[in-house]
Amino acid sequence: MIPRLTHIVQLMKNVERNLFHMFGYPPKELALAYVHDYKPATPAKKFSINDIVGDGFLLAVPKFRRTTERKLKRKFGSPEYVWKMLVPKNNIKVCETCGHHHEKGRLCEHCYSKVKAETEEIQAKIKEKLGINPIEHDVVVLYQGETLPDEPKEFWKGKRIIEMKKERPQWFSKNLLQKTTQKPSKSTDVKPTDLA
Amino acid sequence: MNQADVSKLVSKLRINVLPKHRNLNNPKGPEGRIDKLRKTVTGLIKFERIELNYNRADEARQYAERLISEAIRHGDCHKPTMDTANFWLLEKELIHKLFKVLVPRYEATNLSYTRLISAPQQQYGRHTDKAVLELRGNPFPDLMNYKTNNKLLIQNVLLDAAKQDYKQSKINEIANNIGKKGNSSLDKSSKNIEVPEKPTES
Amino acid sequence: MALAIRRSTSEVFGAAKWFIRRDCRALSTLPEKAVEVPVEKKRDRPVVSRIRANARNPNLALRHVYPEFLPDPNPKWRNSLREKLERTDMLNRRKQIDIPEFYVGSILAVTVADPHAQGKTNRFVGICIERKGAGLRAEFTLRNVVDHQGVEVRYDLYDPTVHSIQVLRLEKRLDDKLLYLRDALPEYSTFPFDMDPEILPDGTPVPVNPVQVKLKPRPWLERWERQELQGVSNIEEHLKEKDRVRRELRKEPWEKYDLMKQYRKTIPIEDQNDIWAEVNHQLKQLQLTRKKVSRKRTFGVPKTQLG
Repeated sequence: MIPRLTHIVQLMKNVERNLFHMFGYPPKELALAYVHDYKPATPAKKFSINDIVGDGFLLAVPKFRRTTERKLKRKFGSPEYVWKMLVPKNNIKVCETCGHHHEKGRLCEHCYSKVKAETEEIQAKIKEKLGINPIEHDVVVLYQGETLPDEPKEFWKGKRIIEMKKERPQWFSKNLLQKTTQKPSKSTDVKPTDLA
Repeated sequence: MNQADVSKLVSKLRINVLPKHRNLNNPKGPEGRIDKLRKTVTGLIKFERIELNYNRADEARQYAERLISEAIRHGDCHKPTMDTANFWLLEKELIHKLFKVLVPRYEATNLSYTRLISAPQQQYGRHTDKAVLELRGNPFPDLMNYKTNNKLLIQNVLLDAAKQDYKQSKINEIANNIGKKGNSSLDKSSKNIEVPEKPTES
Repeated sequence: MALAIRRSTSEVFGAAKWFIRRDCRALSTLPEKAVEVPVEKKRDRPVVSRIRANARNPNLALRHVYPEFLPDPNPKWRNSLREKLERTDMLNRRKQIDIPEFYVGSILAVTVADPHAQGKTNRFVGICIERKGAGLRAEFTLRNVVDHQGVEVRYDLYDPTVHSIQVLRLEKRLDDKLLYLRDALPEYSTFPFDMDPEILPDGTPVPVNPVQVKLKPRPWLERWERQELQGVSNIEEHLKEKDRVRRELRKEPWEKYDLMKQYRKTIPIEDQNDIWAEVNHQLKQLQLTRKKVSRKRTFGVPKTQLG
């Protein structure tokens, strides 16, 4: 009975070996055994600034002294190096309205400062008067002593009127388009066509 | 090579648009840039004229023009446009202003809706380029003097009249001279004629 | 005399022109007093914004059918002369071969010339996953799974070696690009090579296939969860908590309001109108001739398929 058992066990082993061989795997003897890596439990490494800094950084540093000639060429410019020459400004123009100078393509400072001051006043007035309500109308600026010309009420419905408590500045006149062949008018109306 | 996006339609802007956007350095990055531009656009529509750095002004101008063109195209009943206006205008009463004041103002024009003008620069020292960004049709005094040769100004009228008077006097002088010369030449010619006649007679 | 001297020569000429024109009117054969047509005052007519009028142009619908006619929006690569020449070349090519209307998500069969193949042609069937390029460089990519292997082929729309482009199923999908099919289960990309063309009746709008594709488990080629894809069903299943958190942090809700970004990606309406005006007539002609030819074919004897 026992030889039969051993025989059966032998058969099973052979079958196992052959099966393995059938599917293209190497013989059992050459099969690699799995090696278990036993890592000893290391304590968590504490972070210290020396890990980054270490022995120190290697920074770039000048190797040779810069000669005075090189130094002066860099500072004051030279034709072979970087040419630094005082260049005259050719873009200065004379403002036709006030006679002050300004750069071409920019506003004249004198004129602009006047306009800026006036604009800021008007803006402050608008803010003060009209506040936080939803804005649905255009703004018309009237100065002291000016009245609205006779227009139908529908026209003025679409506009909010801001009254400035001062005289209209000379340069903010919209009446320049009046013909001088006629007598100069004494009206102080603001023409609505000049609003755009 | 990219295919143009066809999902949305946009109107052409009437200003010069650089191929790439400006980064407008910001600690929050692109989100911060958009926030900055939102504030600028809100300020522009609220005050209608603002002074700021040139680069920021140019970027904000593009966005303001886009916003206004979208508002003109779609009107105030279109939900995505209202959404965009709500995003860009931080003060909600300005949304009313956009659709009820600015759209009727700019509907019919072919021009741009904003003006970007370079402001005077600091003379000495480090200076950033400043600019004034304004909406067209604002109620404030004009910045740019377009009428530099206004014939109707009193000094120009007087100068023109003086010029005419001077010309007229010169013309009269010449006319008088011609008259005198003409008389003298006529006398000479009559003498010539008279001389040969005498011998024939006799 | 005094008046004449005051005016400059240009003004004199202008006045002369006006006088001449006025005199010429007397020589015309029109009656002196024409019938009075009531002319509307400028202010009475409603203000029609040019912007709105331009946007209502019906030609603008062509941008969906022929997107490659629009140039590249990047000004670095714009050249108006080259674009014009390209458009004429594109129309000439379309006269030679029928390049049908198709969208990303349609199933196409493309036959190209192949010197090494048996019948000297090579036919590939697949679903269009993307369309890119502008002008003559317009391309489209077809994807199919052949022998359990995903295959993508990119063709030039205006390639002269292309024999035919046939649309087997014309439909749209929920997304502009279907690149996620690469990470989807293969059944969504397999289409039989001997598929019959599904013909839609004339005038029907292009159907939108609302299919929601299932993705394979990760790793993926792109972060599909961060792109707002409408056509994918099971992204959330494959995400970890970390991915969800990062996606929230990475979101850019201000991007959809970025007006200039949109503007720089699109061709504005006015420019589009010019392009379509140039090209519209010829495209319509081509469409009509194709329809006529296809109608004629239905009366002929059907050809048997060889090979």
